[in-house]
Amino acid sequence: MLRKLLVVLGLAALAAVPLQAQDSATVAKAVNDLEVQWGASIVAGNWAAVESFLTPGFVFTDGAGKRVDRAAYIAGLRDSGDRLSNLAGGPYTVLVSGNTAVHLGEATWTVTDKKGKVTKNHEVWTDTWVLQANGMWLCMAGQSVSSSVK
Amino acid sequence: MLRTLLLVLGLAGLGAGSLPAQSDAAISKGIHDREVQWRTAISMGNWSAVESFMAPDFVATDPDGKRMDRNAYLKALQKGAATFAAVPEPTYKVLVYGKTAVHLGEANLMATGRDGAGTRMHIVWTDTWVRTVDGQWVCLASQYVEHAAQ
Repeated sequence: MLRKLLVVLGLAALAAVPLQAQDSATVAKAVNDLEVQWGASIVAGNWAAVESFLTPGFVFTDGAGKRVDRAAYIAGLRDSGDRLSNLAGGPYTVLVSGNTAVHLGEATWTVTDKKGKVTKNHEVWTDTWVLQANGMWLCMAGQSVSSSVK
Repeated sequence: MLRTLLLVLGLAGLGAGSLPAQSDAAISKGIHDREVQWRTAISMGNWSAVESFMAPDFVATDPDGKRMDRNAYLKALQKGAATFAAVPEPTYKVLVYGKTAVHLGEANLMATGRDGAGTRMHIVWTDTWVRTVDGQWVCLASQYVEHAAQ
């Protein structure tokens, strides 16, 4: 009886432990890898993949202070007619606190619009990621500012 | 023996548990209240109070994409006088996920430089708050954009 009870209590204790206890360096690398994949998905126009990085309640804020939800964010990227290429990630920092990770990142990329005009943009962002019960990290909010570079 | 074991396991379970759970609505209100207090502290030049709202590794990102740690952010605020004013029909939203809360807010700001010139600005931010082990909510990161107010 005691043995059975210990097994039950042991399993209960295990269930109470966070799904994946990860050190900050591991979390930082994992979240940055997701950011890289997110950017690559945008360049590839793989919108289903882009959506998979975002929580259903995701909100994005652009450099003009305009807020959009997940659907509008993806539609904006998909329907703009702009083609993105030459994505190059810059330095980054990830602030980790428990199941929260804030990715402070930047990147440059080339944008070719519908008329063929080519510009090079530099973007700086703050993205908030949260660890889900299934062990996945998803981005719940992002704000960025971009400027053209020569 | 069994009673002792249960007591030990029970205490261990309590230790592993989180602080009292809060509803998302209660968290949203609590975070928004702290945002209002933060802006009030800035308006009053109460820098120790301002600091108390931020995590030690807090990072702010300004409209130019420049990153500032907590000390640099405080110094930047102290360079000029800033007074926050109420926004007509202010809108804000708080995204809550566990011990993470993202405050999506806006305000009007009257910034006065060292030369005494005042500028009325509209500011839009994404602030990431995390709940610490002692139950306090502190801001881990902030990115904001500002434009001349209409």
